[in-house]
Amino acid sequence: MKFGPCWSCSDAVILFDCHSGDYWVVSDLGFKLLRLLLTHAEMTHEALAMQLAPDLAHEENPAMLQLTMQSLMDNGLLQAVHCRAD
Amino acid sequence: MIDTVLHIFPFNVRIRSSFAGVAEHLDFFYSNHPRHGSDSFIDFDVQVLHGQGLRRWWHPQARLLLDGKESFFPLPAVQAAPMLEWGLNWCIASRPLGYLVMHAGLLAQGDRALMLPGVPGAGKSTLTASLCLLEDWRLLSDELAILDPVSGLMQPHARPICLKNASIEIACGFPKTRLGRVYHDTRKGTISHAACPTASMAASSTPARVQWVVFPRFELDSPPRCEEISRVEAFSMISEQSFNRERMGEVGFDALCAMLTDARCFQIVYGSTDAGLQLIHEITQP
Repeated sequence: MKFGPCWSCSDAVILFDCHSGDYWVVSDLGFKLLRLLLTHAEMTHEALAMQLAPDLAHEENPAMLQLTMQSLMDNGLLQAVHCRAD
Repeated sequence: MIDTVLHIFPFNVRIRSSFAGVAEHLDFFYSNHPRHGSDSFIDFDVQVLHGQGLRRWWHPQARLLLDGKESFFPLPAVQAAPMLEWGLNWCIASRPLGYLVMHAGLLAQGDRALMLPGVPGAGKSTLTASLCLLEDWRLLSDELAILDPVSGLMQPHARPICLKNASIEIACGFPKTRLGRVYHDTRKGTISHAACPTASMAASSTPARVQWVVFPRFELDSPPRCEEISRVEAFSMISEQSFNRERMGEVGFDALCAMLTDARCFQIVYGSTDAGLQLIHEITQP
């Protein structure tokens, strides 16, 4: 995956899938989420929420992180989430 | 039979044809383009030939061959010259490996380029013709915006402007218009070509950097509207108008991002040529 520039005129980022050649428009939150997941081998939902807290504070919907992850998975940009009971 | 190698920057095109109409077309529209010898490097080898067998005489047809292969359905012989233009467009949209090619009108003032991407029918050819024939913008192309990923510059491709249906009459009213033959009942309706302005021809190898991207939409008698849009939105819309983005892969992605980083992007709706020109003026001369 490759991200386009963070243009100040937009609250979204272009994402390029080097394998399929497809382009995606991802929200600023989705971009930051993907960037975190790409740079950390393993990350819990709680750790993600903590890292993204400044961005989530602006969101009206408290479930925005979950919704964003679901959207990324629905579009194949996140392929798997490993759920642990603990 | 004509057999010539035209340098239509940035490509060399060998054109062979048995049609007098094609020869007239080249004389009228391409007389100032440099000619090369047959031993020079050829990017596209195009032939427009008469139909075979009965079709040479009965409802005569024109055939287009690219590199000796016939990949298109024949057209009526009277449309041989438009077929050459459409064939060239197809070559440039689908063949070059080193350029990102997008469906857009392209003009410039000095080295600052204005890109007008748009779906067919959006009015970009008419607006492009108006800008270069009335407002002295330099024409780089009416249809194919060619981006060099290495330099980040748009490459001129000076060819006649293809006008369709009502836009032919509009362009006839411009004092600098040199209109060629009118072709009726083509797959695009009635079409004609307007010659590339002399000043644009003189600078036909001078590239330019995109400064403005404007998505035009003509709606008859609609009040003029202009909205600045984000580069992300512009990227999405331009990539839909790119002919070879899948083949250009990461190189094309980087080139398009770099192009847009230097540009401001707008959507305009206009109901007349004057209104369209005024909106472009407001965007480019604030």
